[in-house]
Parts: sequence; C-alpha cells; structure tokens
Amino acid sequence: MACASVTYAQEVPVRGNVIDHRGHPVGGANVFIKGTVYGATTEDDGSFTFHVPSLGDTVLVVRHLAMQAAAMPVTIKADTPPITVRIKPRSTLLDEATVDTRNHRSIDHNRSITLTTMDIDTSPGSDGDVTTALRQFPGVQTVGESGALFVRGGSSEESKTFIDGLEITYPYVTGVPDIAQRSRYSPHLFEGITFSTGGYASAYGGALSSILSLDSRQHPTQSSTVIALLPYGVQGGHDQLFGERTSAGVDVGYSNFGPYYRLINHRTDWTSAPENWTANANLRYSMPKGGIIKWYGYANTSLQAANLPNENDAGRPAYLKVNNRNAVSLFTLERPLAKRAYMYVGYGFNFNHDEYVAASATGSLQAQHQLRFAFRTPLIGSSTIDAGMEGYSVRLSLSDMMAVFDHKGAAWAELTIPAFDRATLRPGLRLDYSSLVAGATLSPRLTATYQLSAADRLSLAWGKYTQQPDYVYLAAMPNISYQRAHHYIANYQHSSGGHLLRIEGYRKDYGALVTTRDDLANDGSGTASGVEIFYRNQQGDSGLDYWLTYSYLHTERTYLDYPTRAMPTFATPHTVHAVAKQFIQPIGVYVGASYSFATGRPYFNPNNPIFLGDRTTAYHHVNVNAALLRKWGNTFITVVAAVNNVLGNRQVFGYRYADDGGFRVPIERPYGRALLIAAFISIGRDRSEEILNQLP
Amino acid sequence: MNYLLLLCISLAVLMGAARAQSLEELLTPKIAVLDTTKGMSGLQQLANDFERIALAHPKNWHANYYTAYTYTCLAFAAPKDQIDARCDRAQEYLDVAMAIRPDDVENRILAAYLLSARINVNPMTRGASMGRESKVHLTTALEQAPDNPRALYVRGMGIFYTPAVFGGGKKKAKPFLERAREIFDASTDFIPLDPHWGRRETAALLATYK
Repeated sequence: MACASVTYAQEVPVRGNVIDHRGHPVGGANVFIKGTVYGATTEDDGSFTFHVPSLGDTVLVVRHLAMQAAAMPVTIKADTPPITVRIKPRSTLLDEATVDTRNHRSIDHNRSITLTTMDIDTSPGSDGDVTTALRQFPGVQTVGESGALFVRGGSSEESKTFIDGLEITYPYVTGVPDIAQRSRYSPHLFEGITFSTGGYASAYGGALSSILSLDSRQHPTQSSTVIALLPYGVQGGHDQLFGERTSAGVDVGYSNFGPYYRLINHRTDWTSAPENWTANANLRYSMPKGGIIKWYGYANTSLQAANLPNENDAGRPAYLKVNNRNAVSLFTLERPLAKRAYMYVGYGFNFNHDEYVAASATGSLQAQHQLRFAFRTPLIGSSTIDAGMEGYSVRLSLSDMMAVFDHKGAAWAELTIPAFDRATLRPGLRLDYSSLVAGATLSPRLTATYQLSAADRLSLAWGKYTQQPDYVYLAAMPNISYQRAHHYIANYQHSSGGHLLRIEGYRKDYGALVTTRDDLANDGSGTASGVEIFYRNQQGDSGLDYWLTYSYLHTERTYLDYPTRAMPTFATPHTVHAVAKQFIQPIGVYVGASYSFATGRPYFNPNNPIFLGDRTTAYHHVNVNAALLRKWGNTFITVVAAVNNVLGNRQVFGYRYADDGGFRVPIERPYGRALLIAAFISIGRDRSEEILNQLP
Repeated sequence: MNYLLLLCISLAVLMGAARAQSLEELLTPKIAVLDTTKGMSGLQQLANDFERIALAHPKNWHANYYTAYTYTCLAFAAPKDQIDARCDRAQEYLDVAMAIRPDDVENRILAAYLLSARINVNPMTRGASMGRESKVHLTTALEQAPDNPRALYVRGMGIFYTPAVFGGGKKKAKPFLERAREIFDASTDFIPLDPHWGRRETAALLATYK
C-alpha cells in the first residue's frame, strides 16, 4: 500500500546549483534526497533538477569526489525555490589518497621524503644501501668517508633509525675508520622508507637532526625463494606461508670483500677484508579482525682488519682489527580499533659488541631493551589525538671495566585539529627522562599545514628537540645534561600528475652541545640554516623517473674540542644531485645515471691559525647502472651491471694531520672506477619488485 | 491470532517483493545504458545514479556492485592523477558488495579489475606489488569459476599489458582473450541484473591482433 501511494503521489521539481568555496560551479556532483534514490548529477554549470514525489521536511545530500560531502535540511513544497549548495574541497590532496598509506606512524606530516624500496635500489651508485641512496636527497651532506647520515649541519649521532617504530642503536656495521660502512638492513625487507630531515612529530625523540623510519613488509601472498649472487658474497632466503594468516621467513648471507676489492684495486691495505655473516628471520600473523603481529630478528657477525697509515708516525702503517657482533629482535603488534583509531605495542631488543684490536684491545658492549605503547583515537569533530609512552633499559660496558646503566622513558601526546576548512594544526608535547641525565626535559612542538589548492600545500613547523649526550660522555660525567635544538621550518610543496616540487627553508638553533675542551660540559652551541629545492618527475608513462636537488647550508658550531665557532668538517654550503632512471620496457632493461656535486668541506690543519680554515677540493661523483630482467616460468632472473665513480677521479674527503702539523694523511675514496656485476634469482612468486629493489 | 500473524508476514513479504521489484526496475535501464556509455561525464552520471540506489539500498548487492564497477570504468577513463580518487570510491562500494555476498566470484574479478586501474597510475612502481595482489584475486576466481569470461578477460588484459620479458605480451594473452570471446558468444541468456560486461572490451583487445 505504501508503495502504491508513493507511485501515485504528485511529483514536484527540486532545482538549484552547486558551487565551491570560491563560487565556481561544480559539475558531476551527486545531489539527492537522503535515504532515497531521488536525485541528479549536476551539469557543468553546477545546476541540477530532479523530481520528488513527497512533500515535507527532508535532507538534501551533495557528494563529489574532490569535495567534502554536504548535507542541508530542505523543505519540499509545490513551489520550492532554487537551492544553492556551497561545498568545500577535501582537505587532503586528491592524489594522496592512495592505497599505500599503511604507515600509521606519521613522522612529520607530509614534509618527509617517502621512498619505495625500488627508489632506493635502482638509484645509481646506491649499491642497494638505504642510507647511500638517501644521500641523493635534499638536506643530506655528502660525507664520502662515512656510511652514516649527516643532516643539515648535524653530526651523524643526531640521526636516528627506527624499524617498525622501535629504535635501532647501531644501524651501520662497525668498521675501520674513514671507510664508509654499509647500513645493516637490506631495503628489500621494507615496504615503507620514510626520511624526515626536521620538524618531526612528538612520537619521535632522542634525535636532534633527523629520523629514518623503516616499516617491515606485511604478510606475503605466496611462498618463495630468492638467491643473490654478488661478486663479494651470496645470499639466500625463503618465505613460507602457513595457511592464510601466518608466514615465516629466513634469509642468510655471507660476504667476503677480499676478491672484489683486489679486482677494483681498493687502496686500503687490508690484511683481512670485510667478512660478514648475516641472518634475518621473521614471523607474521594477520589477526582475524585486522591488525598484524610481527617479529623480526637480525644477527650479524663481521670482521675486518687493515694496516692504516698513521699520521703521527710519518704515515707508517698501523694495524687495526675490528670485530662486530650485533643482534636485534623486534616484536610489534598493530591493530586498528574503531573508526580512525589504532593501537600499537612494540618491544625491541638491541645488542651490539664492538672489539678493536690494535696494539691493545678495547671494546664496548651495549644491550638495550625498549617497550613502546602508542594509540590514536578520534576526539571531538574530526580532530584526533596520538599519544604514547616508552621505556628503555640500557647497559653499556666499555672495555670490560666500566659499566653504565640508563633507565629512560618518554611520554608524548599530539593533537590533530582541522581548522578553517583547509588548515591542520598539530600541537604536541613530549617529555623525556633519563636516570643518567640530570632532570627531565619537556619538548613542545607545533606543525601547521595549509592546503592552498588541490596540488599546493604550505606548512610551517616549530619544535624543540633533545638528545642525550653519547654514552661515552655520560659514562665519564653522568651529570651532563640534554643537548637541544630548536627547528624552524617553512615548506612549500606542489604535487600534481607525477610532478613534485618541494622548497624548504629552515633554521636550527643548537644549544647545550657537549664540549670536551676542559671538563665535560654542555657549553656548546651553534646554528644551521639553509634552503633546499627538490624536483622530481615520475610520470611513469615513458618509464622515465628523474630528480634534481639543491641544498644550501650555512652552519657554525662549537662542540667537542672546538676552540671557536666554525663550520664543522661534515658540512658544506652547496650540494647538487641529478639522478635519472629509464626503464626500456620492450627489452626489459633498466638504465640509470647520477651525478653529484658538492663544494669543499673544512678540514683541521694545525698549521693554519684559523681553526677549520682549510677546504678540500669540490666533490664530483658519477655513477651508471643497468639491469636486465628476465622471467622463465616462475623463475625470475635479474642481471645487474653498475659502474660506480665513472670519472675514476681521486677524491679527497679531508686530511688527518700529525699533532705537530708536520705530516698529513689524506682521507680518500678508496677506489677508482669500480665495476660490479651481480645476479638475483627468485623462484616462486613474482618477486620482480624485490629483485629490482636489490639492484646495486 | 495466527491469521493475524500470517497476514502480517504476507504483507511484509508482499511489500518486500514490491520494493525489490522497484529496485530491479531502477537498475535494469541503468545497466542497459552502461554497456554503451562512453566518456567521463556520461559515466559520472551513471555512477551517481548507481550510488544513489546503493545508498538507499545498502543491503543490495547489485546496486553496490554496479556503483563500484562504474567508478572503476571512470578510473580507466580518467587522467592519471585522478585515477586513485575514483578507485577509492569504487573500493568503498566493492567492500560493501563483498560483505553482502562474500563468496560471489564477480567481487573478486572486479577487485582485480580495479587494481589494474590503479596500476595505470604508475606501472613501474605499482606493477609488481599490485599485479601480484590482482593475480591472487583472479586465481581464486578462476578456480571457483574457470569459465567466467570476465575473469578470463581481466587475466588476458593483465598479460596483454605486461612486457614480454616479464612473462606477458600479446601472444600469451591471446588464448585467454579468445576463450573469453568464445564464452561471451555462447552465452545468450544472461540474467538481466547480473554482471555481463567484458564482451566489448575483449573484442577491442582482440581487434589489435590483426
């Protein structure tokens, strides 16, 4: 009966138009009476007309892909006047709403650089190393003699690495000084690599300059085996699925750089070239109602020994052997709760043992336990809160004589408040406490983002960041305090159709840096300011991907034993990178090339009355690579050829002077032109992406 | 008492039937137009029509399925930077359709088709991972219904656009597309509301072999 009455009721027209916040017409919008099928699509001029059979008070809904949905009460009568509906644009970028947003641990809210594993390892010259690849992005200094990250005038200690939200205490293999060491973790273990060069969220602490966050892979879809053959080692791994929800994997590798270093005429006088055993293992369980439990384990033992020229002995060789044992165990549970809410629990264990054997043996052993909780939940309206806490227990023994214990903890909270339609404010607060450092420290932070248009965004960030002095100093002088830096950042970003342009200006004010000239104290200070420009074109159609970066840096500091304020040895004013990668689809070949340029860096010369007054020559570095990809049945084979340092030029990174200034030893890139050929074989599922990820 | 109950039940059944019929009447002409609609604005209008029906009938599989399908078609027609927004909208309704009929093989096929649209945004970075995901959907679908022509078409299309060096190419795609056409040609008595797209797309790909 009800149906019949509807069918025969008198139909009345509903007319109107839909406009956006600027008064422009919105075409293609879906306008309808809530809960019914009565409605229409707006024309290009924003107008709509449809007929409804019933009269009375009801709700008119407007939906559009690029706009926020709107609802307004209307009264339908025989002569309803035209209705104008004003709708607002969605606050997020259209092309940002991708499916790849699995990372709940937002670091700095869209200002960071997010890389795929593919980016990392198809980058020419990256040698399949995460941090080496990151060095081609803005804000990172070119410090060829180190494998670590030096960001915006900060030292390498000021950068921290996290895997699945848990801190990694020793992300690089320990080795002989002045030879760049690789990062421990293969990029193919991760599906999200996020790098923030400042202004990061309150959830991250203990780092003055930058955060590198790695997210381990989700559950695989098929069992598979992978074998890698490199000139300096072999690696084999297997992933096995147990039912729909559980999977486990192991990956074992052995490398010995001896034969390869002889081939490329590595200049270091190795008595025992780097030799490594590495094992990775993981377990994953997908929970029935969403969420995942993961365990990741890593163990490594490495040895290297060389005769290094001793600057205080007229360059005569001095023997040094370095032994490193490292293990990591990371357990995490992540689970979505209700809408827009999620929780996280993580437990991380880091173990590291370094042994240095020269005339006598010294060493250090560090074990760290970390327990971390975090959650996110919606508050009033569309605002949300992120909060969490973590606790650490650290034990460090130096040369088996002295041990330091540190119990530290932190708590944080951050609000996300949408404001004025297109802006987002994120005030946050972090509290750090350590039993070794005098007192606790409170760090307020604030980020503001304003969406200028669908493609343009402006953001500002300000925050206080603190970091404990290195345990070596804390062991000697337990009451020195936190070092700190204030970040001020302004960022403009334009992104549309595969183009990304990022311009960022910043200033960092350092305070309470550790000084070692007299007694250990927090008497150091410094500033760093600069501008960075990053342009990337990644349209994908032609298979061409290229980026250009320019970083300008002005920095000065007093810290450690600096007698006056000076530009530190790891900084240079101008850095430029140009990277291009082209995939030639018909023949399945990937080619890439990169060029890096940096102005000279300061080095300490005791003969120069001006402290750090000398500069090295400019840095030039060219790399090319090519990869051939083939598939037979379910076996996928990739053959890679790369030439690093095509120019073959000698590159001096700095000098080590004898104490009396009478002799110096150059710190150089230890090889000329270097060729590398490798093969990767994958059996089982199509692991082409991961294979690409391992390209040197 | 019993009579009253019976009356209530039959009335409810009748009303339900009346409502279902009116829904069928709403959907049938739209589905008929879908086969011949081209261009963004026409598809957007259809997508909106289906969306209104789906929102008013959240428990109806067809309404939700067709909204998802039409948005997927829009994604294929859209410029690269607008593909993901359309796919997200399609996924929204596909999720609802999947919840209504968890075992319907057509859901799986559409999920795979939708992922193909997403891959178009950047085949280089998305091809491998999303292609794998898409393949899982299709393999399951073809195990369940080896003669579903849409599953065969989507698989054929995937192979067609995969470079030969990665195990794809026109040659390897041909058997799938030809089998799909055979089945399309053989099936004349389809149920009006049920999915029957793919014939035109299969023919278009096969036309490139001449």
